[in-house]
Order: sequence, then C-alpha cells, then structure tokens
Amino acid sequence: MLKNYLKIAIRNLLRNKTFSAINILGLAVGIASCVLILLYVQNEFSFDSFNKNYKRIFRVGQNQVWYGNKSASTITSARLGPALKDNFPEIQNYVRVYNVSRFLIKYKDKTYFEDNLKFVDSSFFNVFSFHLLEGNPSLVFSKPYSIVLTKSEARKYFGNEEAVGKTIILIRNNKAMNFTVTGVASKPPSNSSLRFGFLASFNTLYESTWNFQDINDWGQMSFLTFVLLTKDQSFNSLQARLPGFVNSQMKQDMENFKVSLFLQPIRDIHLFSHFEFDPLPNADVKSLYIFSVIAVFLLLIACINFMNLSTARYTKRAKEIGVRKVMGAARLQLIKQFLGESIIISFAATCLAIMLVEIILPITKNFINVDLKFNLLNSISIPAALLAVAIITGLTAGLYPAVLLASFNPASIFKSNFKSSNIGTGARKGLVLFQFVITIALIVCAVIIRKQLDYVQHANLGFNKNNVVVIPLNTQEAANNAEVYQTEIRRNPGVILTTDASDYPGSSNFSRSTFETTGANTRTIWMNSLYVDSTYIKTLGIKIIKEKGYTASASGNEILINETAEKEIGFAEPIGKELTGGNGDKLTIVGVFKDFNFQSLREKIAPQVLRLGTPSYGNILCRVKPENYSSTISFLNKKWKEINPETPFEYSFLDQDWNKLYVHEMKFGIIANIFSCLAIAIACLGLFGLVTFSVEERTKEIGIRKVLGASVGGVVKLLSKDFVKVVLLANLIAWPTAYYFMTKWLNSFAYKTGISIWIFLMAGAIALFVALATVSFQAIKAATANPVKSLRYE
Amino acid sequence: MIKLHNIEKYYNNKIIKTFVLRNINMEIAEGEFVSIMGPSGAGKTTLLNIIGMLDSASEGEYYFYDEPVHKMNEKKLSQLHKSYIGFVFQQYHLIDELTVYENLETPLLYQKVKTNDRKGRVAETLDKFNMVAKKDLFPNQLSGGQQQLVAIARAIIAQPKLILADEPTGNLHSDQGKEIMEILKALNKQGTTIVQVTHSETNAEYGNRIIHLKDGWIEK
Repeated sequence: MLKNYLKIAIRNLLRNKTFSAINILGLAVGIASCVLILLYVQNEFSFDSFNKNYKRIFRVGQNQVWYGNKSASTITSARLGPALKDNFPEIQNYVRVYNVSRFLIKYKDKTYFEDNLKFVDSSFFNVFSFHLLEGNPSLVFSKPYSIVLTKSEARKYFGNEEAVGKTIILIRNNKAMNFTVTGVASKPPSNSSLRFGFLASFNTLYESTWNFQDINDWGQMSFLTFVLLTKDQSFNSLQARLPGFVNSQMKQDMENFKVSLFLQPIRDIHLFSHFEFDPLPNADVKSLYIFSVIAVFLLLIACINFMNLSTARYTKRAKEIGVRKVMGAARLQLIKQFLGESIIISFAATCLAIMLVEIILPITKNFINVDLKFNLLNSISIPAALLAVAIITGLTAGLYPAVLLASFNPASIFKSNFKSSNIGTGARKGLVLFQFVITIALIVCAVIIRKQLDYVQHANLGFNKNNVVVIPLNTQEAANNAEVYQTEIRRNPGVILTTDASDYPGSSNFSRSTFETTGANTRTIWMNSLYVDSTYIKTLGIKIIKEKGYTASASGNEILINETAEKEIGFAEPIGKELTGGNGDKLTIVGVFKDFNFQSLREKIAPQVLRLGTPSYGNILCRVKPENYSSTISFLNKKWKEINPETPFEYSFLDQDWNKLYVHEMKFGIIANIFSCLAIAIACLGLFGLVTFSVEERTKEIGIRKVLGASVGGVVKLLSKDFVKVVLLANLIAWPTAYYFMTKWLNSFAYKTGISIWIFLMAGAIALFVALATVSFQAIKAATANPVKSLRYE
Repeated sequence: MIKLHNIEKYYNNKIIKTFVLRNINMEIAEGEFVSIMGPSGAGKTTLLNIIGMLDSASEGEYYFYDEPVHKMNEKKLSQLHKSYIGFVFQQYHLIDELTVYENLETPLLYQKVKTNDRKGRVAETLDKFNMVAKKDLFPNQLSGGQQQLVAIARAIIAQPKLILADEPTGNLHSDQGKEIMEILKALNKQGTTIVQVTHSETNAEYGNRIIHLKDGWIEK
C-alpha cells in the first residue's frame, strides 16, 4: 500500500513540474529560514551552558539605593567573594573578575593596546569550563603577575615560540610591570558571555606595586563575583539568608547606601539581564521571539502555497479519488495517502533547505558575527529537529487539502460537469489574504525600521558629528603630551579645531554624579558630567544660549549646563549660581548650552554638566576639513609617532562611533528587509501557481471570450480581478496590525520618526505591483494566445 | 439480493425540488443480468450509483442482502461495497499514474489482501484477460478497448458478487463493445450478478431483464 502511494506521489510530482517546483522551492525557503533562526535562537539560549557546572554557578548582583537613586548592578566589592565563602558552607568557591580596558602590552618590539584583559581568581579554571591548553588549571593564577593568553594572542606576541615562561610587560599609569606567562588557553566559545584574550592573576591587584588602594573597601564596586554552589538546590535557601549577611558584614562600611544582594544563574546573563554597568554584552530575548515568529510565518506562507495549489489543482486528482473510493478506499486511507504526499514534498523541501542553509550559513557568520554550527552528523538533535520540521510542515500543509479532497463524493466526481476548482475557493482566497496580510505588514515594518534608522543617523543631534576624528589618549605619555600634540597638529591646514575631552557623544562610558544646589532649599540632582576643555563646545558645534564669558581656566570649577539641567535645577537666572559637586567642590555655572544628544536616541536627553578644565586620560577630538582627510590622518599619525613614540596611534570617526550605537537596530532592520523580501517572493510564487492553474482551467472560456471580441486588456482584467481584490483587502488588515507593532517598537526610542500614511500606501503599492506583475505574466500569455488553438481541443 | 423500496432522489435548488428518481421499487436476485435503459436524464446513472452505494437516496429504503443500507454509516457502506461490488465506467476511470499491473492491484490493497495472494490473483487475472505483455504499460499507452478490459479486470479482481456497469461500451467501437459484452455475459454465467446501464438495444439483449426508466419513473 505504502509503495503504491509512494509511486503515485512521485509520479504526480514529476508530472506537474511547475507545481512541484513552486511547492518545494517555497517550502525550502521557509524551512531554511526556520532552520537558520532556530540555530541562532538555540545558540543564544545555549550561552554559558558549556560550563559543566552551569547549574551551580551564579553571579552575585546588587540592588542598591544611593541618595534615592535606585539601580540594579552586577559589579560588587572585591571583599564580597571571600566573605560569602567564609559565611556560607554551601558556597564551594568564588571567582572574581575584574575587567580592565585599554592596556598597553609589550613584548620585545611588539606593542599593542588590548581591551580584553581580565583579572581572575585562581579558581577560574576550576569553576568555569574554559579549556586550558598549556599550564596547570589550579596553579596558573597562584602567583601575582601571572598571565594566561589565548592561543591567538600568544601567536600574535610570540609567533611560533613557546609562550609559557615568557615575560611580557603591561603598562599602566606609565608604570611598566612584568608578567610571566603561565598558561595558554583556547579561545572562549562563542556562546560564552565571558570573553577574554588575556587572564591575569587576581592577587596581583593586592600587590603594593599595583597600588589599588580601594581593593579592601566595601564601597568600591568594580568586580564581578561568581559563586559555585555545592549543589544547585541550595540556591533558594542561600538567597533567603543574604539579607542577614548584608546587615552583618557590609553595613558598617557604607552610609547612605542601601544594598541587597541577589543571585543570578549564569545562563540568565546573556538573555535576561539588563543591569547598569554590566560589562558582559548581552542580548534581548524579545528580538529572538520576534525572529522566531517571523520565521514561522514565512514557513506558514509557504505551507499556504501548498494548500492552495493542492486544492486548486485537484480536478486532475478528483478522478483518482473517485476511482479509489469506488474500489473501496475509506476516507481515512485517502487522507493518509495525501498526507503522505505532502510529507514527501516537505522532505524534498527539507533536503533542499539543508543545502540552502549550508550555502547561507557562512554568509550569515560574517554578517551577524555569530559562529553558528550546523552539523548534521555530530549530534542527534539537528537531524531530529529537521525530521520534526519536515513532518510538521507536511502535516500543516497537507491536512486541509487531504481532508477536503477525501471528502469528495465519487458520484459527483464522475458527473461530466464536475469542477474541483470550485471547491474551497473561499478558503483559498482567505489563505491568500492571510499571506498578503503578513507580507504587507512585514514590508511596512521593514520600511518603518529603515526610516527610524535613517532618522537616528541623520537627526539633528544638537552637535555636528561629521568630520570629527577621535584620538584616544590611552597612556600617561599621550595624556601628558596632549597639549603639545594639539598645538602641533593645529598647524596643519586640514585641522580646524581640536579639543580635549573625557568623553564624547556616543562613547559608552560617562559618569553620573550628584550635584547639590546651594542656598535655602538644597536639592540633590543626578547629572551626567564630563570634563572638557574650553574648545569642546566649538569643536562639536554645540550652541551656547547664555554665557558669562568663561575662561579656559584649569581649575575645573566652572561649569556649563544644558537646558534640561537648567529646568531641572529651576534657577530663574542660572548664570553665576553655585552648585556643590559630589566630592564637595564648589562649582559656578558660567553658561547654558542647547540640549544635544549625548547618548543614543533611545534615551531622553538627561541633565548634563560640562566641567571646564583639563581632563586626564581622555580623548582628543579633532575637527578636520572633509577635503583629502586621508592625508590629514597620515599627518596626525606622523606627529603622534614623533611626540608619543611609546604609544600606538589609534583613531576613529565620531559619526561612525555614533552609528555603532544602533548596531542592534541595524541588524534588526536588515533581517526585517530580508524576511519581507522572502515573504513577498514566496507569496507571489503561490499566486503564480494559482494563476497558472486558473488559466489552464479557463482556457476554453478565454478562447470563447476572445472569439466574442474580448480585448487582451479585458481578459487580463478578468484573470487578475480577484487577486487584486484580495491584495487590497489584505492592506486593510495589515496596516493597523503593522501600525500597532511599530508604534510599540518606536516607543523604545525617546526620539522617533513619524509614521506617515505614505509608508502604508507605499507598502500596499509594492505588494499590489508585485502581485499584479506575477499575475499578468500568465494572464497576458493566456490573453494573447490564439483562441482557435485553445478551442480546438474541445 | 437487492431490494429497493420507494426510492426517491431529489436536489433542493433554492425553492424548487428537482426530482431525479421517483418512487422506485425493484428487486434484483442473485445471478441476474439486468439492463437499465432510458433516454438521457432519466436517472439511470443515479440509480446505478445508489445501488452501488456511491450516492444515497433522498428517501426510501434499500436492502442489500436484507441489510438496511439506508441506515448505514460511511464506514459500513465502504466495507460493504468494497467486498461485494465492482464498477465499470464508460470512461474506464483507470488511475493514469499507475501501470496496468498497479491498477489491478489497487482494489486488493484496499481489501488488505496479503502480498503473495495478491500477486497470484493479479497474475491470474492478467493471464485470463491476455494482458500479461501489457502489465507495465500506463493507461494512456492503451487503446480504449484495452483500457476497458483493464477496467473490467479491475472490477472483478476482488471477486465481487455484483458488477455495476455504466455504459461499459459507450466509448468503444462495435467489435470492441461486443468483446466486452461477451466477457460480462461469461461472468454472469459464472454466477456474478450484473447491472448495466446502456443506450444500446443490442447490448441490453445480453441481459435477462430490462428496466426502462423515464423522467425518474420506472416504466411498467
């Protein structure tokens, strides 16, 4: 029986090549998208699960209130880890991780800035399951000034030489320190939230040469603390006893600072934590859900093609159904037969999809920067998932046609006027409608995302981000020579203005601190503050509203505030008024400047203070002429090498740094674009099939109409009318749906583009145009055919 | 074998009832060869379909071997007709995607006949109809007469008690038609009950009883 079904199915597939191709191709694209998204989602959810002990590893976080300012943070005091271990027997071990950015590392003539250095406790390789290629996991960090490199970093510095035992130099605050390489680790897996290139022993920080004064202070919070529990069940009881621990251990050291501790499972770090100062980059689980839903929708659109084409073209199968029923086939047997056929198709599609995934995966690897693995033979889970996808797709696509077709009454099938194309016409239209609702909604979303990205990239930010070169002053040497360097480069005609600033718009770090108003009603206000020199305002093109001639005094006691701060403080006439800074400095307001966006447009402009003075360890911002800036850059590089021979020259462009704030949105936008293109392609593939079929069915009618004098236009209209109506109706449903979701998405931005009616009209027009083009391709062919030919066969 | 009692068949078209069969009362005994004749639209095919359980009557009672067909559910009906009834159509209605061999095999598959038994019966039937050489051909590679031969072979392969033939020679030229009628007659001789619908007086003569239908009524 099965053999009989298989034969019929395969012979049918081969006989109806167009339909088979449309079905298999559409399903394959849908399945491939699903597989890719599934791989991505699976990878995101697998973060940190490579740790053998992942169920027992927790990160300790803090909920804190400071001067009424509530926040949740993941960085803790260095004292926390040891104190926890001493107080709770169920804590088997702890690891502290201290993240340092911008380190100069030197070996012989090789000097590089390194961003990914972490100081970790000696228990690091015992608690986490990172792989150590050389060295003893328990001993590599036992001595101060020990360092472990990843293999690629070791190759960078030592080439093919043996790394272990070598001495490299780390330069911090102009002080060079020798570190001994004690091990080589393999690169952390791509699904690790802890990334590193260099790991140094934590006990180095206690050395007097290091001079880390606050390491024993409960109030100095700079460290990630991980704990390994003896068994994962102890989590809840431990969590319950933490407040007592805080009261007895931490309280005496900190006034005005209320802290409560919480434990976060290590696997939640990547997707479920959005804390302040989280040094580990994490993702948003919401976008994973959105991608999954869209991928499923794509597959659904492809399934609908299958349903529609199957039910539409069953005049041809009707006879077979009738004969089989006459020969005693029960309805259930026929349903099984048709389901079998759709599962065969979906298996064929799955095979094609596997090829597509193999082709696309290396491309996406570059593009979303994730190392996704698609290994069919290595684990059972991928083949099993594919099998499940194939069967579910087959069932989804096949069930409706199977049930519908098996219900045909053989007596009516054998009547001469039987036309199966009339069966399920309504449902077919409904399904096409559904396809186009999704397609149009996706187009609208893609256009709005595009428009918002355009908006954030070109919005008037209140400063001029173009043609500004950012040169970080990474070392003491560079900081000391900043003035000299600036004087030198200003001589170049390509350089318009330069300034020295602790931070610049778009840079991720800035400091927030408290400011107190002086006078009768003192109030404490949180404001973003940065140290800048007096040309900062001019270099960035920020507008001054009020000022009282400020000087470039280096005292650091003169401040400029933005309009938002002015409103917040509420002084009628702010110029000349005094504020008290967090460390007790008396600061005078010498000017008010127009608001500008210091952070991404997701955030509302916050009250901001510019403190005039010379910042330490900042950046030089350099406004250059747009004409031949490459020669300007090489000039900047040349001068740098003369003045700072010990420090490598690095630079970036302010506008590019600014755009990096929207990497996530851009990725989202590109994926939305791809998906909406795929959706419209698959939906039109289906339309093409339906029209081909309807032309076939109506050959005689078209012939007669032409004989009676119908024009080509008239025939095309006849054939496309129904589809056009469906697409138009789809717009009416898709628009409000897309509007709803996009308003929600835009709400994550404080500054957003408007959603105008044109976007909807345009999306509708695109869908209509593409649908019409698809339909008319066949319709025109039918309409221009010679009626004599089409009627001859009657 | 077959008892029809006050069978009516009508379609409701909005307000008007269109009658196809009116007050049909008839009996067919085992071993009979009955021809149903009548002009186009008299309801011959509908009557045949009702007897073959492909269609149901709007009113009236139908007993097959004294079992009330009009009260049966679909499963029972399908069970009954696949074990007792074979069909032959004017348009042959072979499955185009299957070879002669596979077409013959299909009814046996639905009756869940064991593989060896099935192969034996198909071979035997092919032999009986002199079609062994053509067993791997597809229907469109055969002439009309050959196709109808396959259709008859398919109808009898499950050894039905009753064969219903709807103008079995309608699409064939006279020589081929004669051959088919001879086969039906031979089958009848071996004990198979046959009911055929036909336009042709000559073909009707092969039977031992003729029922005339006109506008849905049996002409007495």
